[in-house]
Amino acid sequence: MNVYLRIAISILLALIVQTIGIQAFSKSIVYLDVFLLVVVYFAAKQGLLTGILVGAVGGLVQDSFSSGIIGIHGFAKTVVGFIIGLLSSTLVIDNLLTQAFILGLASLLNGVVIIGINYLFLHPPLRSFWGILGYQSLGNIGVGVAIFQSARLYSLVKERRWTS
Amino acid sequence: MLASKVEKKAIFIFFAILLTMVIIMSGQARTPTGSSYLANAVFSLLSPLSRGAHSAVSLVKDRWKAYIDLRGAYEEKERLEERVWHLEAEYINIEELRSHNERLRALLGLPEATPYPSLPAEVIGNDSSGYFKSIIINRGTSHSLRPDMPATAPGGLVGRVIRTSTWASQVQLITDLNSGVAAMVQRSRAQGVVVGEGSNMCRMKYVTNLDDVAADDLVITSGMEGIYPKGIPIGRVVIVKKGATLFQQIRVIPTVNLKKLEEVLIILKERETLPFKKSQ
Repeated sequence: MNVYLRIAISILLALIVQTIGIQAFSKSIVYLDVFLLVVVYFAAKQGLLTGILVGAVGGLVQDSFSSGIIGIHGFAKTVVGFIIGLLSSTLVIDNLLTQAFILGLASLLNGVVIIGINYLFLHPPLRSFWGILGYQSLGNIGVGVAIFQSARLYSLVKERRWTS
Repeated sequence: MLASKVEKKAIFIFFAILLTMVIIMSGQARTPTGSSYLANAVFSLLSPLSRGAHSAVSLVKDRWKAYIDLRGAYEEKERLEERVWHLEAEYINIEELRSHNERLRALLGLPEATPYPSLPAEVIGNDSSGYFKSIIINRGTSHSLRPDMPATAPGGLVGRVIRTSTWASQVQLITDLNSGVAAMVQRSRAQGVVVGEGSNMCRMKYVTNLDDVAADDLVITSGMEGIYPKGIPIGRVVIVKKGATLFQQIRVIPTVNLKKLEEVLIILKERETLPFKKSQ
């Protein structure tokens, strides 16, 4: 499948899970940032430029369905896409620990940028910021590592089929 | 060489995108409703997707729930019948009080309070970010919804509409970090502003140390900002501390359980232009 089509489908899926997930599945989806997982995945797999572009588009879609300042998620996700894209050229992403590290780093960067910009716009600081950030990082690492590993397994199976 | 050229291009695009985001963010300071055209366009384009997905999931969930609920239907019927008797008795009392109130208002020559029309809406989604608090409802401009219309639920205030599309709208909750509601304490009439904390609580700001506020006091809308009608319950005071500054530190818990919202009532009231804005 074309990479642009995969990106578009991933962003739309992220939107559906993130907006209707709490109503339809579980309240704990609030501790998951599916848009961030999409950005980290494509930045790690496709590199710097794709990471930046997926971050910008995914962030703006997230902004349109959030009550925060428009552009705040776009800004944060672009920064995340850039940093993870840069790291992907130096780190071995297939490693489980590396995946957990980049997902944790991405969650931290995303949260700090969002709350930092909000604070710059003279809005009050979020009282439970560290709590939300902690839970969200754990959620993102857990689900993100599972996605990375599933994708790796899928590509391995596909490769084996191809060679046999 | 090629790699560094690609990286240079990527870094240029990165800074160009960041600059664009900063321009988008600062542009909002000028729009009165705090929502940009770009976000409204994306919301209009993609909200049918959320609505469709919600309908599909609801259909399956409702069928399953209907099957499960059948087992306790008889007990539920008995319980509801008893509740109807209680409510009928309460309704008679309320009707009596209403007519009494009308007579007194007429005697005092007070203008009649005109209730605004309202529209029920179903909650079809939540905020796409864990840091902000909003909900998506299945009513939009085709149902006469406009930004800044208040949303309520049994028990009190929920928030205000911030973004609309043809078939869906987004409602900012009173607990959102960027929400502010002109409020007053029902008992002492002390005025202030209720702002969200981003959690499930609110704070009441700008209430001076001289004002009389106590725990368990009901906080209601004062209508001073021109968005919310006066008298809607917002929440109850849980903590009051006389601050070292001019103002008290007051924490308020919303009267509505905003975590379990399934339906809301939108009050079809346009934002009023405040007297000092009219002259500008």
